[in-house]
Amino acid sequence: MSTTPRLPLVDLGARSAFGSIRGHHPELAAKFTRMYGFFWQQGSLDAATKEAVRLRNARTVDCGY
Amino acid sequence: MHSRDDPDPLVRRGWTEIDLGADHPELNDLLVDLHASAAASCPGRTADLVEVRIHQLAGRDKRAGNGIDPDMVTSWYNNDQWSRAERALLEVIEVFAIDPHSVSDEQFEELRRHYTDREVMAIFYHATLTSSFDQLAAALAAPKE
Repeated sequence: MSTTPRLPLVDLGARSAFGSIRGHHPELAAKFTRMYGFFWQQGSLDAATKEAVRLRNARTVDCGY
Repeated sequence: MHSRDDPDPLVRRGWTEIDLGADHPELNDLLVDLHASAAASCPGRTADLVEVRIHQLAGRDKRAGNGIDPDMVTSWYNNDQWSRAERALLEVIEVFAIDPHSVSDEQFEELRRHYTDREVMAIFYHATLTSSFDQLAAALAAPKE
């Protein structure tokens, strides 16, 4: 598993390497952020349930976030 | 609350016709827009190649477009129809679909030799969403008998 970003960082002020790399395609990054924000702020599941699912998934697939 | 007798519309519509929009239209619109934009940003016929190979590995049928022969995708490593760029793409996508952690630095660099960083981002957005929707379909709908 590689832990070094495989694309050059774009936004050095980003909170994460992943966020910075997404800057290579700003239009898709904006759409992703809009979708992800909607997912967390809206919907029928409470935030705690969503976070529990996110954390369990991240641990299972060895994601660092 | 959906029951066995009154299943969620996502399940009721079956394996190939899941309608995420039935219960979550706004989220569905955002996801579909993101997926379509990613596909549109992929160069040449790479979006079709990505979709066909990922659906094949997920065990789903996909009618190939853009003049792509699905059988030639299945055996991509054994025929010379594909350009070096497309072979690099298929190699990475195949590994990515099975285990994203297993994509090697060498495979990724070979991909970058043929595509710009912006194109690489679009390809991976497209691959991620295609694979995720396959997982969603597998989780929510029973396979056809």
